[in-house]
Amino acid sequence: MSTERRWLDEGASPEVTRLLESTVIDEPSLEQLKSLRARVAPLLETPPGAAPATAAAGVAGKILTVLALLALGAGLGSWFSQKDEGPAPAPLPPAPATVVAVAPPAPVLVIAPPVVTPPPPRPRAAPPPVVPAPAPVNTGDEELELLQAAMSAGTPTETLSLVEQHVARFPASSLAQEREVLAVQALSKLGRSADARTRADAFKERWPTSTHLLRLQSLLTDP
Amino acid sequence: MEPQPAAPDPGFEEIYEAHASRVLRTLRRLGVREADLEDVAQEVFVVVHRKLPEFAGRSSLKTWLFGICVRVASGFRQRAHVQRESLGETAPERANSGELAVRSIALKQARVQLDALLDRLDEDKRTVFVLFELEQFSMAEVGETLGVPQQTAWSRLYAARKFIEAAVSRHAEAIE
Repeated sequence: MSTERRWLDEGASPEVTRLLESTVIDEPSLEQLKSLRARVAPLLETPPGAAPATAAAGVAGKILTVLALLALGAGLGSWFSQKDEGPAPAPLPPAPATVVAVAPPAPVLVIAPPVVTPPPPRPRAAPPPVVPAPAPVNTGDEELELLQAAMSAGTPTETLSLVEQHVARFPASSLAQEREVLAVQALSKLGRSADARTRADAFKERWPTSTHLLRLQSLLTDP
Repeated sequence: MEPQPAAPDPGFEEIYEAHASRVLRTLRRLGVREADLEDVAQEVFVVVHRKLPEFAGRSSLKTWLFGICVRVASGFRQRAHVQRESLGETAPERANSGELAVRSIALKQARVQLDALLDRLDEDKRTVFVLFELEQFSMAEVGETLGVPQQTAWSRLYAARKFIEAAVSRHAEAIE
């Protein structure tokens, strides 16, 4: 690898450097991640190689939907990329038959076939499968809902307060990374740059390979 | 409904969770329009889901997955309407109204310029350039992803660099 020097390392011209460095904004938007998550949800519940289910139905579908919405609102990017710290954020047990049987029929997610013909022009993103969900099914929902409340809080102060409540109630949360990103974002918005940086540094130390690091960097430089 | 068997290793969910963001990013860099990213990324994961049982670790997961990305993006780019519109597309407008949307105009302008240059590269050169320079693949990984000898990949990379450097120089001269 030492001989494989990238252009930026080889001394690209300032103009080329400017162009290459502009790719820092290429990270997908939260809306895109949310949309893709919703579209792929049926595949996640189907064994590879088998035909996907047509809907993210039942409890698993509800959890996926909540996760997707949370990911969107929290500005957290692909929180699903880290699996080295505790359980996955979206537990995906196979939907039991009884749950599927009573699943509401409305939010049908159709998985498009692989590339064969170009899709017709259409609006940007398919709507997420908003599953009319009844009551929360487990404490995992409480965890998500609290983080979602923090995400949608009206002020950074309120966000920070809710994040700290989340820390207290769910210290070993599988959503800890996302929670920390929210905290850094809130601190930055409050002008507490030093605190934000300290928290971001702790994040980096704890999750050195997280894909949230780029987002954190952008928050620190452009709150 | 029959109980579903456990997913094999690597599981689809694991692959999705680890790579979804990068798949979207890479597709964009390979020339998929912003408005079509989710569509094309979905296609990628449908292919991954279908072919996963055949994967069997014959190559690295990374090169296998992004090989699919490259082929799906290529199919997208080859569609006539996309080719016509891609050069005309201007800003990489992000629908995201969150913090990522808060970027300097200069940064966006530079990104648009780079997109325009990448659009003018032929597909082979663009793919190597994107994987090596932007996605930080090793050249061995680039070769494995594309199924070409490393020397070929190097040649394409140098040609891409030369093209971009020349275009940037011409642009600089034109505005002086």
